[in-house]
Amino acid sequence: MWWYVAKRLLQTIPVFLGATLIIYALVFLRPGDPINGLIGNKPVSPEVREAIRDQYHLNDTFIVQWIYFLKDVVTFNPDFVGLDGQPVFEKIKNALPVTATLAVMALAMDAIIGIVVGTIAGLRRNGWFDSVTLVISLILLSIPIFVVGFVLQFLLGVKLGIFPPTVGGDWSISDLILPAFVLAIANIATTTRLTRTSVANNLSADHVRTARAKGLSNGLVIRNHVLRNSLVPVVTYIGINLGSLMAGAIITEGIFNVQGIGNLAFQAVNRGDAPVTVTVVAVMVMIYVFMSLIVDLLYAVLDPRIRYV
Amino acid sequence: MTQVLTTTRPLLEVKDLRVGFRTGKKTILTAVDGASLSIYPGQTIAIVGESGSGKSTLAHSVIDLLPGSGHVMGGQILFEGHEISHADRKAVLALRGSSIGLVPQDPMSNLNPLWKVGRQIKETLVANGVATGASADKRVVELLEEAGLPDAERRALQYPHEFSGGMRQRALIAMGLAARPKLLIADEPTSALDVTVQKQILDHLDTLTDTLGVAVMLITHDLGLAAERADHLVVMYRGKIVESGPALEILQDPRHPYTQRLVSKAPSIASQRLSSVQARAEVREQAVQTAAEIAEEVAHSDAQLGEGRNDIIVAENLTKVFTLRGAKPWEKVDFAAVDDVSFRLRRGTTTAIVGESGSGKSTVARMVLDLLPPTSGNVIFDGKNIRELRSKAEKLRLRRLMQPVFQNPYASLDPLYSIYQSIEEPLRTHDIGTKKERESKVRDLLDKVSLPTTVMSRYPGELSGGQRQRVAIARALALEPEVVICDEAVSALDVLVQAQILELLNDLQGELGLSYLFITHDLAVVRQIADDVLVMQNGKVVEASTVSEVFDNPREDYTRKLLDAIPGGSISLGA
Repeated sequence: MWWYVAKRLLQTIPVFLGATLIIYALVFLRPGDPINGLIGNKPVSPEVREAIRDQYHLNDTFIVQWIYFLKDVVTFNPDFVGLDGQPVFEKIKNALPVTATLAVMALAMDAIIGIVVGTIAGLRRNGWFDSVTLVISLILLSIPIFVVGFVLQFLLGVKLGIFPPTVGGDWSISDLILPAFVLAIANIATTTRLTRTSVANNLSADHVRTARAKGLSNGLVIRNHVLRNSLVPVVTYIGINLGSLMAGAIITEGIFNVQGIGNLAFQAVNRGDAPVTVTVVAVMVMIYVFMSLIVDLLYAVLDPRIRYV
Repeated sequence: MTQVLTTTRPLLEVKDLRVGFRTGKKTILTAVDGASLSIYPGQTIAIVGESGSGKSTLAHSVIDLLPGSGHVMGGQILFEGHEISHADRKAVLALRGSSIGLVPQDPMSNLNPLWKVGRQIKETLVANGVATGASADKRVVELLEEAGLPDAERRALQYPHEFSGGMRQRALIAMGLAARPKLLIADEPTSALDVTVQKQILDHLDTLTDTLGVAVMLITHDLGLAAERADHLVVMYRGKIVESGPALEILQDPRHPYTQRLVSKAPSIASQRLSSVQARAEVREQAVQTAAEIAEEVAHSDAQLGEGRNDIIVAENLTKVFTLRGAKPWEKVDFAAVDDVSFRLRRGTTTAIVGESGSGKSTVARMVLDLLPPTSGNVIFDGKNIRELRSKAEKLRLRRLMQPVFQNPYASLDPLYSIYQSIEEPLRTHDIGTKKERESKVRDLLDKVSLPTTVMSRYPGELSGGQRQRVAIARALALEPEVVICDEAVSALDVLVQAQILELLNDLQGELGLSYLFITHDLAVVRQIADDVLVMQNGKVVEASTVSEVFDNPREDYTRKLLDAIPGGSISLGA
């Protein structure tokens, strides 16, 4: 297994290089001059302009810029700054905790609600609970996240005042409940459907019938022979989600004014700030890659038939 | 006096049982229709019937494990005198495991893949209040040993996927007997296993249930097996019990027409008869003659691939080595799946390759079909080495002359192709005839395999297993091949259907002068279809001879073992 982990870790190197190169190229091809984004509409002398361009290596070819960037990132250079002159690592360090908390909360909601509801629906397939869940999941899946976000923000935040409508820079866990729920909604619907199908399939499995024939009570059969077997595919799906939840936080963070990674990336893209944009995306890519490695290893823990060599 | 009473009372009594499945809002499919039987303590009875006859449904209703919409519609099930067909959940739970045990059909799917085998047996002990904790762990090892599993202590800590099929079935037997039930339902306990393993398992089950005094309800589709293992037979046909009585009596004097057909057609029994040998000899004579005419034609034609030789396929020292991953990630281990196999297939005859799973017989078939390149060795088709066929046209011609029929008719037909499309496809691929000609050819082929032309517009899902296998044969014959390679072509079929398909293959061989390479694990069918036999074990040929030689005078221990394992082989019949 360690051989497998080592192989997977080695694979992250080309993934990192490739991802950053592609994003660097995309930012480079973006129309407009990043200097304008930086200084706005104020008149500025060509000399100053040139000086700034030199400072950020903007006159070099894009491959050279990318290599400068790599050097700063790989050595964790504390003087590595974005176009706004602020240190990039500092910014990410400040923004990451709130996004990570948001994503983990969303993940927990996804797992708990999705698995519980899905299991009940699967055990009583084609009953009223199952049908109601199906309709609700389909509705949730088909409404765009920003519609749900704004509606819930208005209803629960502004009208009823149960949750704070916005989060801001100084956040606490309770502030994040509503944003996390909005973020999790689409995933909850999918997790529910997945769990439901998996449970229903497992209920009719041969080994479940054998377990019943052994004289096990219904509760024991469900707990020992249906649930764990059904959860293998579900856990895989939920695990992979953590990466996409962090990446997908841009819209939710925008709606609820969460000062997280998503907002940071959004602002950096608007500015044409290549160092910040690419670093943020690279962090996302790395999180995604590591999450999928963890999920793969977890898969082997849940299912003894899977062995990595 | 009381003792006499308890011993004469049946353990299980089923009276006029009717079981149905709800298939629509109002429609009900009756799966068991008025079945009655009784089992006395310690007695073994066998329920025999084809798939869909309701034998499994009957068994499952006894233990209240009917799938889905199945339910008891009428009649009684009495266990030790108590009515259990409408008992509440608690009473049923109390019966399961501790009074009625189950050994299910498919050892591959009946163990939970995520739990260690020992734990799954321990569950039975705990649930039925036999033992808990460390004493249960100890008991599990004893039970596994009792079921004939060597090295039980280590095995108990392994997962099902680390077990072979036979070992899993032993674990399931240990599980079924764990709480010492009075009645054991064995639902086709060995139909998924190799014959030799089957014999071992059944022998063991016999001894075990005898020693423990457990009554057994054995469910099987194989009449020979049933007669050998049970003293009392119950024959089911279309949900009804058509005949029941002492095993030997039924075999020697079957009354119901269905039983009569079963007795005359079951391969395990038919293979004992001399008549099948004579019938085979007649077919061969005719086939060899037709084949010789074809060979003559081939030899004088330039357009043909072959040279019209007498040995249509010659395999020379075929070897296939697969490279597997070793214990260390950078290590590689060579595994010889087929090791130096040579044989000849004479025109118009059948060569059977017999062996257990893993013996390499299917790998040989794939190499002969040119679907898998051999590591070394050659396949010579009618004088041409198939490895030296370079041009696409020549390869296509080879494909025309050699056609396969595979084991599973459910998997080898495209479910989205109509029967017509399936049979017509090879003709279209090889650009044969116009649309009209192809259609008449398909009609002709369906006629050859005795299917009505009305099936043309139907889909594989609407046909039975036997019908599907006929379609697969028709498809193989579409290109007028000289050789048909049947890879376990009848193994997945019910005995009667199996007999029909074998008959069809025999007829076609006589009529068309076909040569068959017949791959099977079942020696019982060999006598009805083959002329020469190759017995394979672990990739090597251990015995190669004519059929009568192998049956009457086997030279190798392994061949003898295979012959002994044919169920019902020990039963002598008058006819």
